[in-house]
Amino acid sequence: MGVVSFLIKHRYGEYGLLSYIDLELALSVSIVASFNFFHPQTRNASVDQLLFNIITFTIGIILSTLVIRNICLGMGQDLYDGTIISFLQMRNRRAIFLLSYFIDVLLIGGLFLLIAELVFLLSSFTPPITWISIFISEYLLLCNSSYLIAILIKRPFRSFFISISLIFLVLGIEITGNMIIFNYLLPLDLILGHLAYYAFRKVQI
Amino acid sequence: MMRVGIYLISLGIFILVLGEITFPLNTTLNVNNSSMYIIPPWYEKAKVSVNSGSFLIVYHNYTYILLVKGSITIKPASILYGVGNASILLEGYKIFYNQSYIAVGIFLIIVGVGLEIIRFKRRKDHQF
Repeated sequence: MGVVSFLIKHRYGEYGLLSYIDLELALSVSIVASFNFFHPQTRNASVDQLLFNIITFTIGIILSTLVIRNICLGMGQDLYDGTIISFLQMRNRRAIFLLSYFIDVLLIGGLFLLIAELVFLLSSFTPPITWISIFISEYLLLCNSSYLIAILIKRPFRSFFISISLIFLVLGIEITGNMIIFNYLLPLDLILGHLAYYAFRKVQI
Repeated sequence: MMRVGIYLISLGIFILVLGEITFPLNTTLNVNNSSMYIIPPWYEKAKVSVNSGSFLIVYHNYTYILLVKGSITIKPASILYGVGNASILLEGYKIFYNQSYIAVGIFLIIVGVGLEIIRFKRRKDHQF
């Protein structure tokens, strides 16, 4: 058994990824349905850009809440009770960090983008192409900062509560209508990811 | 090993079911003085009632009807021409309205079943 399938089995169990995929399909269908609830006569999302941004943003917050739960209670628990040592015996730290980051964050986000584009294609819903950048920057901001917090604190529940308070901060940004700031936050996400990598290399287990 | 086949089968079944379901979501639209209005095709049926003026309804097989007074229940994807004031009651919301979702869902299910059969055979060879 390779380290990738071992990590996937450790994080999601036998059928955990299946429920994520079904939930992502339901969430992307809900984008179409909730847009048509307000504008029943059209499926062109550039008619009401603000409404579409609010819908995508809320969906992104729901998805990143689930991923943050997986990061804090999975990675944080591994660091807390030392299960990560058994992974570190198989590969070096760099490979373990990149693989677990891919499986925790990038796999779920990429699958959501693929499934949402498939649903949009099948239902002839035409969003503006910038929805990908807004979704990715928000999702990566929440997930990378949660990764950094989980590695620095090394306790599952404390890091989970701190990440949840971060989600409320982002929700406040959405309610006050400053969502357009997330167009410019993508470099900050990359810096946060690099900081998480640096912290993982130096962490004492 | 990741069970990609199970994921594809689940996606295909989900897409087929979502295409078959009609959601009980009704809305009313008002049309004022429109030269051309396409009734949204993602609803099951539309009830056009004319308050004033006259409307020409063209179906997608190019038969047409002139509506001056009263109401009529038509299938969507028809086009309204006319001058006046009409209200349209739309019933039965669908997510996937054109027929391409059936092909995509069946394709995903077939690929998933194939992958599962390959995995099952390989596992059997490993065991014995």
